[in-house]
Amino acid sequence: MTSATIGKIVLTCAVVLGGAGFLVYSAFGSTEKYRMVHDLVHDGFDKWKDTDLKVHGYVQAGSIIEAIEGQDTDRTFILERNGVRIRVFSKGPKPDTFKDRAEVIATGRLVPGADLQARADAICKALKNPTGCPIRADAEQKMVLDSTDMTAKCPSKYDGAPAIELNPQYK
Amino acid sequence: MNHNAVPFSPIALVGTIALLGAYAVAAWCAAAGIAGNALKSRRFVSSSVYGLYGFGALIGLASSLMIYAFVTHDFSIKYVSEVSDVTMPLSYKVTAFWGGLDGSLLFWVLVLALFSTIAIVVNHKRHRDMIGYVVATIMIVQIFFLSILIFTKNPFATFLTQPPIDGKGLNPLLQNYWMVIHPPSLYTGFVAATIPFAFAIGALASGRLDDLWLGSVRVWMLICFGFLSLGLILGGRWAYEELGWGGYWAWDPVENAGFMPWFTATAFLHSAIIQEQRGTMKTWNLSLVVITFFLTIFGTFMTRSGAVKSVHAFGEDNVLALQFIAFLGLIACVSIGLIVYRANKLATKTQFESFISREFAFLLNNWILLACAFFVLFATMWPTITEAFGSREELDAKFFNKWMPVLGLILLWLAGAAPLLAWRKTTRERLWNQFFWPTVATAVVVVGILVLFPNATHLSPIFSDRVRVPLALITFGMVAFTFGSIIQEYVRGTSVRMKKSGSDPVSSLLGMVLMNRRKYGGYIVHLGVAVLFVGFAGKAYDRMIDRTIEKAGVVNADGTGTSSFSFGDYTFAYERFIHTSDDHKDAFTAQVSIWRDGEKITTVYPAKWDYHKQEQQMTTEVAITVQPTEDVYVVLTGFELEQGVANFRVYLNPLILWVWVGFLILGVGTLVCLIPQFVVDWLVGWRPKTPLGRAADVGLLVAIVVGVTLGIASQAHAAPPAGGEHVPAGMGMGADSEGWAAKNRPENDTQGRAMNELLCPCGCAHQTIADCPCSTAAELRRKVMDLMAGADLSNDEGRQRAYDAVLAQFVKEYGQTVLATPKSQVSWLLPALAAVGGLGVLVVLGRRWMTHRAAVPAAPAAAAPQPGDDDYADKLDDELSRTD
Repeated sequence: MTSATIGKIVLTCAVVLGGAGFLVYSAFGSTEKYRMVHDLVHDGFDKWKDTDLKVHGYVQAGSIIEAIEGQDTDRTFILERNGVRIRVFSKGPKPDTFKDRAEVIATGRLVPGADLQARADAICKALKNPTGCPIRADAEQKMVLDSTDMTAKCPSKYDGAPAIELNPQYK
Repeated sequence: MNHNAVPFSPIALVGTIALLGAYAVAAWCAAAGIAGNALKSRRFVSSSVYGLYGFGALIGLASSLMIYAFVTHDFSIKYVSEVSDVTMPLSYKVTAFWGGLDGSLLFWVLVLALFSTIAIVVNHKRHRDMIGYVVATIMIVQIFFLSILIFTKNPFATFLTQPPIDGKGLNPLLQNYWMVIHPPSLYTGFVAATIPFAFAIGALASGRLDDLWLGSVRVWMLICFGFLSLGLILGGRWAYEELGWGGYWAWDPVENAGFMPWFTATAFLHSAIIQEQRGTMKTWNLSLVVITFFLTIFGTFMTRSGAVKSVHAFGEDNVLALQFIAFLGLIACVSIGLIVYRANKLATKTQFESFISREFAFLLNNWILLACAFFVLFATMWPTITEAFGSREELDAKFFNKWMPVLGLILLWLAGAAPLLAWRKTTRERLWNQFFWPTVATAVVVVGILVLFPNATHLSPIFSDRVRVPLALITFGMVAFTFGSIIQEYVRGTSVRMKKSGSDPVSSLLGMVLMNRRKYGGYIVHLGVAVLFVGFAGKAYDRMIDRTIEKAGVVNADGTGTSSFSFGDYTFAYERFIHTSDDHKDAFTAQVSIWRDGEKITTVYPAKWDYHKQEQQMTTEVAITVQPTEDVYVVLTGFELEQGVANFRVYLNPLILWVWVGFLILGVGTLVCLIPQFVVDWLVGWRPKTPLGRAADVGLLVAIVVGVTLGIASQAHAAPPAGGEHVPAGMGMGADSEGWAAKNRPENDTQGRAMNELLCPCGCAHQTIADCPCSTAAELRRKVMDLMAGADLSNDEGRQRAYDAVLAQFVKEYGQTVLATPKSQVSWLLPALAAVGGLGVLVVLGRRWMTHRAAVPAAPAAAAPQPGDDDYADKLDDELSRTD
């Protein structure tokens, strides 16, 4: 084997391995982490700072508070799993099956509850019948989930249901 | 009589017997094929070939029975009851055949049986010394799928207890016309990859590794490429219309499964040219064929075993997963083993002479395409890989979109640059000559966009969030380069042909394309890809807004008001909310008018449909207003029926139309590549000998052009108004146990005739109000009966008068589009004329060019080519001499 051939092989391997290595590195930095509510709390919130999360849990019955402000819909609710709860804020459309006790995967980032207290107050202010108000954003945990996307599955269909329901933000 | 007895289903019995028979035949064919070629026994080979035809007949029988079971509602068959019900339209009943896992596997076997029959009929005399191996390979693949069908997923399995009276119905998301053709297109693309694989294994097993097998393989790989392209784009169109998230491609695992073999098939179509031209890359080409087939099976494994989670994957099945893994292992072992075994015969010595050559550009293209396939495979499987090592981690579309556009742009540039390069080595002079105008086109477009649209320098992340480049602007530049390059190739080729043949530009162009269909068809494909990228680039500028409107109908004369909102250049006015229902579903529809500059431009009807048999799974029916510059895409994201509150999401999607247009061009290019040689031979042989014949020729051409023009105009006129399904208000509230289809049936022939002439407006695909099962149709039938009440129907004249009066009333209220038959009967012929017209133009002009070409030796008066054209003419002659 000539040195030129060896050089070509080495160069090819370097390019392929380098590319693959960078790809894996890049993937680790871009993933959305799946976590149950109780795992999230158990792990400690600092671990998930600035991380895109997919948080799985069930909507606590009676916790959904939704208001129309101008022409925007804003809502907050509590996600529960194994007795551990976290408050979630979400704007815009919701899945058709989003309701009390629905199984939900909320995508978003953790932010301090105090940062969204004003948003909670605005939701209450916009309600004609402010049941459940006032809301203390950090009552459940010091962090809340600021959700950008939700998927939900109807509670009655949970057992044996093949897939979660699509919502308009399906990606 | 015992009413609880399990009913006997002859369809299920005969269908299962047909599958068992096919299984036995396939086993014999595989054994006879291998023995025939290994022992050089012609009788065994013939037996395997004829066995393959018999296999096709048995599978055809089983498939026909399956469709018959759907059409006749044989719910004693489990699969039929799982994916259909009595209220589904006939078209969805037929397509439910492949709507579930079991049926889709049978459909796979059917298509492979059909394709293999065609491939063997065409090739069995050409490749006698390997055809036994080819048949055996195909049959081993069939045995694998039949094993699953017979032992695990028998679509003819019946209930052991009393079957249900009605089925569960097809998934509402699949009840969409694009879904009628999207899955079979993808399956067909997947299946087509089996034929090249079988020929590759046949060539390796027999040791016949010359270029002869390549010709047979290339056509099938092109068919695979064409169907995969069709399947992928239809999947995109379905997602765009049905899922309501404003886009068409989200790197869904199931779509990715079709994309991976598309990359490797495309790579093969390019590298096969290098083997033909230079005799190199034999191992590479065989490997690409094997990888493409492997990826089709891997993709099937991904979507059917539950290895990935997707909007339309079939759910988790560990047994099936193990079966697929074993088969994938077998494919890999046999293929790699045979390639290693034949390594000496596959070795080639030719080296690349220069990096600035066409073959190196093709090689680069292959590497990038393989990198794309690997990247998509890696990112799609990432959640599964991470789940195996601990916690599941998902990569979203943003991750794909950081990598794939860069690779795509390199491919786009190569699509323009490779045709400009010479084989072996490109001189500096030629480089300048060839690249000058495409580079100028790039510069003009980029500068023009920067001057006219200063905001076009939108930065997009590549590889990482920290690296941002004006990706859309670069894309427009690359598109301009590719356009410049391909148009230059066409113009120069046509110019040289004109001078050599003395014919007119159109005849020269068509003749040139017909004589070298693969090359110029390939260039059309490149143009289509460039147009696709225009649509992709538009994605960088899309916008979205969410709005909640609490009350409908508070709208001023200019579209403004508290029920309105503005977005972009448009104002959207929520006019009313409509609730209708039929036997099948409840429809919740918002009527929204769209205004621009104080003028109403259209009214759209975004909706949500709630299928009675699929509770909790509403489908989103979006309203799309298509424009060349941007689509206005309105989604009803939520509603509160009692209060009339409606949630809307609006997307403004610039340039998205060009994605579909680009695909159409790509499809035309693929079809040009697939035109068989005998069609061209027929064109050469068909020449009118008399002046009268030539006059008829011209007349035909004129008639075709007029027909095409009128046909296109007719189609444009007949197109329904843009937007969602229009459901008249106040009709059909509430479901009815007797069914809407049974209500208000005609009491006499005249009423029936009128009902059969009026189209139903509630979403039934081109059904008349006589057939459509929705509540609106029932109300309209009532209206027909009311309009005819008191009319004199005792004689022909009176019946005709009553019939005409009803139609006139409907046309007055709803317009001409309500008629099932257009006013002018001739207009029915026009679309057909339009379809035939394109082919006719090719025939007539192609024949004219052929005639000119044949007459060239006797026509010295034709202008001689200029010295500057010689190189190009030589290049063309060289390529034309190697026509398909």
